[in-house]
Amino acid sequence: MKEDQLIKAAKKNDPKALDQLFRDSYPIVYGYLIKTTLNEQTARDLTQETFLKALNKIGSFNAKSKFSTWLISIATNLHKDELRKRSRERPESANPAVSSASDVEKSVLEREAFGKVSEILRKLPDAKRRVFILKHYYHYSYEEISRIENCPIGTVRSRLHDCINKIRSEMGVEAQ
Amino acid sequence: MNKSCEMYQMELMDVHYGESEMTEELRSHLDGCEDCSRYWAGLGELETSMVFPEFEDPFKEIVLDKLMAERENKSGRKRNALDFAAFILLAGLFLGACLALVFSGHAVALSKIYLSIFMVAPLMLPFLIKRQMTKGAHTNGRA
Repeated sequence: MKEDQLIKAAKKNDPKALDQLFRDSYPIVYGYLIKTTLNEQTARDLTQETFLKALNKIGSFNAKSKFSTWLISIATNLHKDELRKRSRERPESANPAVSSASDVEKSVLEREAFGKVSEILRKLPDAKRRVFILKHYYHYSYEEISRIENCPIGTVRSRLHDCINKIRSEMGVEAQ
Repeated sequence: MNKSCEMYQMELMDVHYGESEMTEELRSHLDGCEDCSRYWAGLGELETSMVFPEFEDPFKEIVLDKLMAERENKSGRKRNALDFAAFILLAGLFLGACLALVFSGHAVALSKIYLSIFMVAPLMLPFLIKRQMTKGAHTNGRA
């Protein structure tokens, strides 16, 4: 069944269609959140919250964008909320929603060869990191990112440019 | 007016990510600017150096099962609310009908029906239970 048919069926409360939609979108949402939060547990919790919210609001999904894009928007808003919540709880922490290297010592992020990449991503500010992830890994257009992030296209471009410069300088430092 | 390297680099970024096409102006600037050439090459390197493979969440099935259970609960709650609304509606209609009968002068007849139901129904109950038990025994015997 095609995505639009699945969405129509899911809106009519068809459990199989809903299960199929969630199953197909799960890797995208989880993958996005693990890169954004750099913490497996937080990524899993936010993924679950994202789908829960989608479950409750699927009736309002207007299908102007892809279903996964809608889920990414929800996940982004939840990540922003999580950051706000954590900064209220721990105002002294500079980058609270991103775990420190010691937190993820035994996690997949550290075990796998891409630990260095996650280390570089961790050094980027949250909003800029999200923009970089959406563009670099998920190939969303500037317009889509500006809608997801709820900011002008100019801001998206400048955030992406800042990220690239930061990554280049980090890689330059490591190469030395 | 000359554009700064910063602006050229942002345009190169747009080209790299497929947001715009490479222009002659950009190409000629790249040929003459070492800094922007390095930036352009760096963008290409990002594709190989910033690889972050997708991997499966080992708890995916548990999370999805939880979500489906939540959906079941939600539809169960909705069904209960609908049942309750239907009950309220029917009870209201029944009460309205009774009141209409009373006000139209059929109060005595209504009381008789009401009392006979309350007298007959308890008397019928043992027979109904016995019938149900006999039916159950027959079904078990056949099985």
